[in-house]
Amino acid sequence: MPAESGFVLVLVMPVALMLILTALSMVSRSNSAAITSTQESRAQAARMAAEYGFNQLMALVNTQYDSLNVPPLVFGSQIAIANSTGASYTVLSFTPPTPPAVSLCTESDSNNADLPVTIEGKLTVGSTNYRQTIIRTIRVCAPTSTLNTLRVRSFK
Amino acid sequence: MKLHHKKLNIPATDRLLKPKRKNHIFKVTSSQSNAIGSSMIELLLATALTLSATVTAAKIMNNLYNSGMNRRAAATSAIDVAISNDLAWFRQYAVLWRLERGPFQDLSTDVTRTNTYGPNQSPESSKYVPIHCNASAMAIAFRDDAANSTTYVAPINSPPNPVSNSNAASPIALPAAASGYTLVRRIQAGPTFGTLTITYALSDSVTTLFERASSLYLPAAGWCP
Repeated sequence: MPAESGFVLVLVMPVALMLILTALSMVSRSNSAAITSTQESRAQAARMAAEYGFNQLMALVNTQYDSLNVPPLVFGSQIAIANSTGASYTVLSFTPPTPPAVSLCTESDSNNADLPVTIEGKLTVGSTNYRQTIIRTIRVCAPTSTLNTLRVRSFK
Repeated sequence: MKLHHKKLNIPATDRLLKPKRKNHIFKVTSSQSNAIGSSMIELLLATALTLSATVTAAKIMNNLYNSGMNRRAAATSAIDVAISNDLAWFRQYAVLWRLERGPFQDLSTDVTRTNTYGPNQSPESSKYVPIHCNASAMAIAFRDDAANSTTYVAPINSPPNPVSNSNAASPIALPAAASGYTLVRRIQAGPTFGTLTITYALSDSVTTLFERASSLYLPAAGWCP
């Protein structure tokens, strides 16, 4: 009987250890899910920053920019977003359309020119940067034939 | 019958206190008897108690995390979804806002339709002239229309949350997973003509946890001269 008790110890203790490890791994997985969710939230905040930049860019094309890139749209510079701590956006690339390729604005959008843009949104939390990049093509036309101004009709 | 008294020799040492016997749990070897080791029943009982304690501890730890980090993670996801749904409605509304064609054509002109000068108007750019093509007036007009329930026509339908026609904060409904938090939205004219800034602020019972600003471009601004 004492020898059997020893066997019981040998057999039962690993099972107990396995149960403990299983419990710990369950907790670890739950913890990982929580961390993943938090990071997704930050990724969403970075994406919102990129969308913010894209909307501002379209409005700037309507109001300030012309097909000669005068005044030049700010790109390559990080622009902070007000009322959004740690959030900013950067216009990464910009290819101005050639003036002759931009048709006059009409009721139809079939003759609009493409204006591809890339905007990076960034959320900085401590020393960590969360980035999200969106790539869009803005469809533009010229409201007059005499000026180089543009109007954004749509985007794709 | 003759009685023989058996002589009993009782050594004096027997009257001394004997050392107490010590039973060592788990001190079991093949050369020891049950009397000084642990019995099979004791070991099984101890093992059962150990397993029971382990399972209980696991449950407690799991519940602890569930009520802590995981609960916060679930709340974060619920809040993100609420913000996304709210923004999605504004984007859809903005695309169709004040269009002569599309679902808004059935509405009266003074509600949402963009004024037009007619297809043969010259120059081309003046065919469609949205109202308030200046400064922040367009953004305010958009906010007023979005707050007007008569403009909720298919496929836009009603917004997921009420829209205020002022700078006041509007509450955003949150699911039970995010109970204890308050999410509000403010709509203001953006820094550039033709844009709105939509700010979401999340707070608990004590303080503001975060503020996130989103922007909305109004395609109607592209029709201004």
